[in-house]
Amino acid sequence: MINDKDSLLEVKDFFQKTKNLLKLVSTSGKVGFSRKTDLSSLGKKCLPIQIWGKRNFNGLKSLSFRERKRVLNKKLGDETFCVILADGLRFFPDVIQEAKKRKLPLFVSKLSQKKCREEVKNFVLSLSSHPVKISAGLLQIFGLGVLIMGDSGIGKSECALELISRGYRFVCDDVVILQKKTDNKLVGQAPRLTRNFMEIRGLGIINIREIFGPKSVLKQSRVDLIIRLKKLQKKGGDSDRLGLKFPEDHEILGVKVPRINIPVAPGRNIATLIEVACKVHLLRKKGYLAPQDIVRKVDRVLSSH
Amino acid sequence: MLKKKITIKNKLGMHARAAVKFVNVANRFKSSVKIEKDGNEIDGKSILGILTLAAVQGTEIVLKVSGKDEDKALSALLELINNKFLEKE
Repeated sequence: MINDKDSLLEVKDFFQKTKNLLKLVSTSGKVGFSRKTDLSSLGKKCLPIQIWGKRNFNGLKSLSFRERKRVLNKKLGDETFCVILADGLRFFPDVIQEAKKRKLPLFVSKLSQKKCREEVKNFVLSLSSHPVKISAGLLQIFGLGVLIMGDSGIGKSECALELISRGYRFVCDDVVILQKKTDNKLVGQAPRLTRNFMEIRGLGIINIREIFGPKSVLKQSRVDLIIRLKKLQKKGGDSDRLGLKFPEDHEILGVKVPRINIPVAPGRNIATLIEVACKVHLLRKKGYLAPQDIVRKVDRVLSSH
Repeated sequence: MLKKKITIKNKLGMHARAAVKFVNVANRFKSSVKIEKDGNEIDGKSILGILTLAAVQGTEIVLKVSGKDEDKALSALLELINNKFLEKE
């Protein structure tokens, strides 16, 4: 992993981290291994890595010498990070020569071009996700990773404790480290320092693992659903009473996670509400939507008159 | 929102008891209190949050206070840090 401060990726690091994955072999020794690229400017752009396959190779072969030089000039520009020749092909001598002149690293891979592209993309995704710390709790309910957010003092920890005592597994409370994984999913875990610990007003700091046993805790979990606890607004006339609207998406690190807002008020058992919200989410994923169901039924009755 | 950069001055840094003092002061106010360190932001009203910062002596943190009583809250928190969490050392 690269660290937070320098977002520069060096060819040397790239090669070392991907050589097993991509079955890479360097054709130009360590030429150009100090070449760098800025990852922070990546965003939508992809890494300036040229991945050539059979088609590019044959195209290059059919060109005249002069044409070839022109194409290479364009392809092997200063912005290019490195060139990977996939499909188990070998570079032409003039390409190698040209690259050496420009100090551009050349790699060959035994994998197919498509596979190479995929792996490089995954690698870049894993790099570009710096972990973030957010203030929330993370639990696993019915196999769903549920992130509980809300202002301090609203009862996140108490609610998490209630859910743990019902047998759901606890990842962390108060501080969650979130990271985007290569499959574009968010994974959350506890900071090592406070793993298994929780702070409850009136009880102080407690250790969940020691109280509920090792089965009650998880080291990390994917984040599938966000529950946001909010104080119930007295005016609150515009709340979605039917639940017709789909959960809003909450974006963290560029990953969209469905978010359900649950108003907190005396007499509402938040733990049960969260539990049921998870069930509703699972049903929705299966394709069943209760609000649509009742709307349809009401419409049928109304139209039969 | 009020923002203020401050350096932790006491010898032991933001240790557990100092964190408790900080949280207690922060909870006296309605405003939300956030602490930022190295780009990570945590809730200043949570003990575990502050402990994960692992702020040692000399660490620079940024206090972000927002709400109706933000002036009072910020000055009270700054006073606490500047007074080295009322420790004797």
